[in-house]
Amino acid sequence: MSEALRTFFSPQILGPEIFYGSSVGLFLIGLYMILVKKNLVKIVIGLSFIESGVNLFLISLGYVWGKTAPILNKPELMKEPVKYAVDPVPQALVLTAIVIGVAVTAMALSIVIVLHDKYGTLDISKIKELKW
Amino acid sequence: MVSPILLIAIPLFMAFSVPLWGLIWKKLPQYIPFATFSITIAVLVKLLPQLWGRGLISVVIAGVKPPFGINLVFGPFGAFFALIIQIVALAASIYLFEYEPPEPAEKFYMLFILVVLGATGMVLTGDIFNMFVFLEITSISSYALTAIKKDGHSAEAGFKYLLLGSLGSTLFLFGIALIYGSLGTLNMADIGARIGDMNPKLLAAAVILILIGMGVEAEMLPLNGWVPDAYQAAPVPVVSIFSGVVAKAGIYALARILYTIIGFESYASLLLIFGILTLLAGELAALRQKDVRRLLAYSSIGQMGLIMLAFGTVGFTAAIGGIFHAFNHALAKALMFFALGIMVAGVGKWDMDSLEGIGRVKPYTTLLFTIGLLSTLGLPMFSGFWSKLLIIIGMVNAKYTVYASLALFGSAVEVVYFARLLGKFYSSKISDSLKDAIPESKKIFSLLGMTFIAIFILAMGIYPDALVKWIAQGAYMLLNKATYIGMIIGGAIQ
Repeated sequence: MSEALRTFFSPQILGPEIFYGSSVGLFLIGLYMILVKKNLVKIVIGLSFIESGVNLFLISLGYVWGKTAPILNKPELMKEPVKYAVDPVPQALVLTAIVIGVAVTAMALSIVIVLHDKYGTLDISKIKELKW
Repeated sequence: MVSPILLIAIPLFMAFSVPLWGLIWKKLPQYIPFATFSITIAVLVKLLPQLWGRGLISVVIAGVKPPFGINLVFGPFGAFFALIIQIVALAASIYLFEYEPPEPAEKFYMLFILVVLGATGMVLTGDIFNMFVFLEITSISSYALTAIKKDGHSAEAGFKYLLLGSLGSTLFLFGIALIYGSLGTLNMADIGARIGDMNPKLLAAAVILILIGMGVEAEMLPLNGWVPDAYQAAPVPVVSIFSGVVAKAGIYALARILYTIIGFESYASLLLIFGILTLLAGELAALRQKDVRRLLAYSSIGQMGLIMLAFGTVGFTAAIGGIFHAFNHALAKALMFFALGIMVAGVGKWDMDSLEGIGRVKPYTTLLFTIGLLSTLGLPMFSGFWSKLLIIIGMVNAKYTVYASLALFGSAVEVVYFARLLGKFYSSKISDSLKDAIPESKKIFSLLGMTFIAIFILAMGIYPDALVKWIAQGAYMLLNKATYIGMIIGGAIQ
């Protein structure tokens, strides 16, 4: 990374707020897609957006500026992990949350496939047989 | 030494080995849920006496002590909900003996065990992120079970449930993230001990996010749009699992998080308001339902509202009533849905008019249905009476007279629609659609299992003390946050 870029990405200019802000932004985009979009696939994509927003939020909670990934593969990392590595707990949480998110998305898409087979459309306003 | 871990490990092993059992004998998977839940109930029976005098059993997993490691907490409150869940699951798995599941059958049994496994995990865990994981195990399996019939209706209901459920659990995860960001811990006892250090505004946001997340499973008012549709679309044994297992795990999590983690007093009114709204909306919506499944779904929402009210009251009597009512509602609703499933066998229509006069065609099943119905109504001599009475007394004692009278109004509405339903069932005019009804004598095992539930409801109605004495311990542990925290963090118990 060049020196200019390094200053630009320093905590003085881009603090953790930008990560918090963008995770909330992702969350809101997803919510908008779920509430407004009529296409079932777009709704599922909105769901994934929300999950990504929360995952980004969790990761940025544990991030400490200038520290590395909590993989203890170097001697100095093994000796003093707290000094060189970021908080590993949120990363473990996000790993789990990503797997769960994949399962939910797969489940949702398989239901969408069934719906498309039965009704021949992906437009949610044409499918509503049951009362909401 | 029997460990509470077995309550999670055994169903997990059994669920994923279902296809292997199918290789030995094609019909064997049908009996796997029964085998699984018989073992888990045996484990529970072995564990429960150990609670006397010890308070709770905290099991450390993977050798790292709390607050850093994950622990399971087998205390009176959680153990009681685990018992509710296992009993309903066992009853449902007896019903499965004579039930033709939608194809693929093996996956149906697998998902069936997984739902119960997730709910058991939710009531036993002592770690809030672990609770999220178990919540997702339960809810993803529930989405699949809702949509398993693969027709348009059930796929639509499944999609609705999936959308609300996964949105809710993502919000729950957001709430966990806020708490972790402020306190740096995920252990529920540790969070509870240090919740005072948290910024009150952030805490309020986290509470609302968690309330929304759990409200979906607990059928709380603005988030229960999935309930009637899912109850209508899912197979009968699955519906009994929804009301007896998934909703109960949701209400447990709500109570546990609000009482143990958050100093609850300032948020009590929130649960009271949502509880009364849920109760009234459920009961009033049930009035104009023609489909019996939808009617029972709305009645289930109403009962969940009553349980929320009981936990919102924050009092010893009301808490006992709430736990007891969760138990009664789980048993009674499961009984009613099993009976309904047998009534409809051969008829194929679920609306009230097609089932007119069923009491003369299938008298014994209708009698069992009536027992469940009267217990839900809270008639004296049925166990539902005592729990409703305890909740109302608790609310009046805590000076929530308005809420108590509104809850009684909800019960009065319940009488109207249930009386109409019974009137139809016992009508002397027999509907034409009942002429190809399969006789109830074909379902001996299911009727046997249901008879046990009915006897239990009647026995608890006559002698509730046996259970209430034990529930009181759970209510005490729920209300006394410091005891719970001290026992886990203090390290007095391993």
